[in-house]
Amino acid sequence: MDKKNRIKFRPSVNETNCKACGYCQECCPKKIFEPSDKFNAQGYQYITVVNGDTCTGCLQCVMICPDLAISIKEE
Amino acid sequence: MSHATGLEYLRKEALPLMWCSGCGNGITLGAMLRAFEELRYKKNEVVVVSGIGCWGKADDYIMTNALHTTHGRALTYATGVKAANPELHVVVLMGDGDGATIGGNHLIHAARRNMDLTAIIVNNFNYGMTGGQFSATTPAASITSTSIAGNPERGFDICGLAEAAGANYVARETVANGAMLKKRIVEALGKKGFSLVEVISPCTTLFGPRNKMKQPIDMIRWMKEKGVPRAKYEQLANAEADGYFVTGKLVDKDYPDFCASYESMRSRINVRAGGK
Ligand SMILES: Cc1ncc(C[n+]2csc(CCOP(=O)(O)OP(=O)(O)O)c2C)c(N)n1
Ligand code: SF4
Ligand code: SF4
Repeated sequence: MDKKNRIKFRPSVNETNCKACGYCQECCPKKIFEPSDKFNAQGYQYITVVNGDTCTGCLQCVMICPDLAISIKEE
Repeated sequence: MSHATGLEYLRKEALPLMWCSGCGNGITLGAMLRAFEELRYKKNEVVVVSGIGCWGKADDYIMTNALHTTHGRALTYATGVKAANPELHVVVLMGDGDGATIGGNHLIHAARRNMDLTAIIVNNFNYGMTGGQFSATTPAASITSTSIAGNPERGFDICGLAEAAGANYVARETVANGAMLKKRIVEALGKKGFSLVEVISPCTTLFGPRNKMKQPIDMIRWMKEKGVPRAKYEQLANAEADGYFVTGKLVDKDYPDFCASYESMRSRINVRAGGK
């Protein structure tokens, strides 16, 4: 498939539900997750997506997130 | 191609989940809901029967029918539900305390009867909800709130027990491999007769920190290292002593399930009674 027509994956983290366990950071082969500098209402320094463009849609983060906080949309 | 999210079965208004950061219950919940979606289960055809404990709270987040029962007795209620309406998909959620300690005898007999149930036992090696006391699956020498110098007892092999008691399907996976866990739950749900999926799961607040795994990720790394396929396990020199355990599908049989046997006995009686 040429680069232009390749499916784009858009990962996002629900900052209210994340509990900052760090599992997504450990398992992402593209290292797209980083802690934010803010805390959510639960008191956790939630995770954010830093370079989502490199996401390959492998879904490892979705499968391991204990708080069902990660979603990956396809475009 | 889009993936199964399982979100149609999730009670979103109840989020965030009640469990601690990194707790494996949420990973197991997600895998199970994705399995429901892959099997295209209708919500009204599923009954989730849960016991008491942290994992037993899972039914709070599920949009199917649910029955929250007493500690250690979930399998007995589930047996009644299935016998009353064999068309339902009955899934039984239990912790290791619930399913293998106080409720261990029911596990034996549900497997022996080969009731068409899918039991998902989340084994976090201790009683989470009540403060981390040792359970029947706590490994020997592990530290818990009731074994501060190490557990003097040996841990139970839940899968070995279910196999010996006659279960049609038995598998063990860890939450470190959520995709494989989902696959095993799909297989277990599709199997007639008693199915058990044992999920090796981190209790990140109570068990991990007391056993040299201070951070949640330490427990994930531990289960990734120690959970190995049977072939590899058999090659290791001191597998059991070194804390390795077998993951994968361990039993896959097609012995007639209880409801099928019961119907065949009933029809024999009916024939004898002249078809009445
Ligand atoms: C008959 C009865 N005995 C004891 C209790 C107290 N109790 C509540 S939860 C629990 C242990 C739960 O441990 P486990 O089943 O391993 O689940 P986890 O919390 O680890 O998910 C106990 C002993 C109870 N609720 N009912
Ligand atoms: S795995 Fe989920 S809960 Fe854990 S840090 Fe990542 S987004 Fe947050
Ligand atoms: S106490 Fe343990 S089992 Fe219970 S929610 Fe916390 S980490 Fe999970």
